Amino acid sequence: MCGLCGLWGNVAHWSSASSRAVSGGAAGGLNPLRERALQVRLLDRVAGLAGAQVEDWAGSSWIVRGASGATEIVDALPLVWPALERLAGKPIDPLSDAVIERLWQRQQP
Amino acid sequence: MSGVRDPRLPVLILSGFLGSGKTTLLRAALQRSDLRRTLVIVNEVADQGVDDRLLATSGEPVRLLGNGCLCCSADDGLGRSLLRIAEDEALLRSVDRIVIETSGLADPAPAFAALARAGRVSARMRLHAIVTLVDAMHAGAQAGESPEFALQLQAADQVLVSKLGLPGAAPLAAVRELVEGINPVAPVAAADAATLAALVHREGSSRADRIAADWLPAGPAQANAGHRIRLPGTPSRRHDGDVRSFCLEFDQGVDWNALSVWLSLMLHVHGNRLLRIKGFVAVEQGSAPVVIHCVRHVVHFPEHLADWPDERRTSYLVFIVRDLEPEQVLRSFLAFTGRPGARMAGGPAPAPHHHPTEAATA
Repeated sequence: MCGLCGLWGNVAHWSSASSRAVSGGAAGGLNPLRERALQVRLLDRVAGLAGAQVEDWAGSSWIVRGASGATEIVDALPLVWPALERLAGKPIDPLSDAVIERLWQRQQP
Repeated sequence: MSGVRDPRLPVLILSGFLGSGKTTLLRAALQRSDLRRTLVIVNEVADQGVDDRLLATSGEPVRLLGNGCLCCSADDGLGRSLLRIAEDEALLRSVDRIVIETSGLADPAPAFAALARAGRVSARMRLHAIVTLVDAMHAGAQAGESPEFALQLQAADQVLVSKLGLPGAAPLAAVRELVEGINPVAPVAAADAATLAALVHREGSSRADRIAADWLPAGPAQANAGHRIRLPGTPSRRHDGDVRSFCLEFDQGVDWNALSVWLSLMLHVHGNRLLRIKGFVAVEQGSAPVVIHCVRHVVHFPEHLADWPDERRTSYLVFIVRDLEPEQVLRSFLAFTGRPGARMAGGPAPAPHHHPTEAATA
């Protein structure tokens, strides 16, 4: 089983599989820690839309930090979003025009 | 599919409303010699399940979960039962497949979730298909009166219609129209033992490949073809919302990290509207695909295939959504993944040789 050999943390959650794991090793260009860093960068970019931040914690959890400095540590990717809502005081709707346009702007060089 | 055969036991979830004839159909199918080595897991509301006794007469091994309805408390019970089976090597060697018959009042999503969890269960078993049985005599009334009816249909990979031809039964075409208003992508067929047996044996019946074969244009995708949008067909409208289906198709590999961030946020905010997501995605250009399989909030642990199921080798995700705009889902996906090479295809029903009209090319 490929899914179990490439987990970042000890939580066997679908989102905890690295691309190396889900591709059966075909995505061999990046090591899991590098992948983790890229994912955290995207999470932080999305969190920034609500004035919050997301950081990696030991390669296994995420630190979600609101504008006031209040933080929560969560250990599964889907738990980042409710934590973000609590700390930012508002949800991030991935289908809203504002979120889509600001993400596009942030991807421009 | 070429490549190494998946050694895990295929699991078929048989769903259907109370009285739709699940046990009768399953018992008839189990009489067939080609289904001899089937382990049936029955979830029954009563402690002494009538369904269990009926099935026991067929001589097949039966495990009874008699501790209540699946939709409320039996989720943990089913999970424990699957775990016990996964750890019973002698039992695993004695069967070739598992059929879970859910309670008639149950939402099949918890059964899917019990299979979807990574670990010992998913290491030994894999979802083969969710089949939902619909009663042609009572489907119209059930659709209006019970929310479980829609939940069972939304989860279905295949819908079978029972009691056709009986007095008061609706014709197959009418039931198909009703079903397509709730689940536009699941094929609808008359229920009989041979059809169910064929579903049990047909590899790929839970995959989105047949759907994509109906929807996506024939022939290989053009690399770097740009950004084509295929508008979905006329959405089906019911009292509980605007259910529609569409397909995102990708020329290039999709970044798994970006996909997981987008998918997790989509499920968090819009999980109740994302009724099904199924598809194959290459996470690295040129690699074999990863199977994505979601029932509402629940995501099956991603698994990679040894090879593509067909020569098209195109990544795609098929969506069934309620009250969501397909174009906006595509825009959101592109914004999160930064992939310019996605197209959207869709249609009201997977009719053979039907391809939706290409509406715009940019």
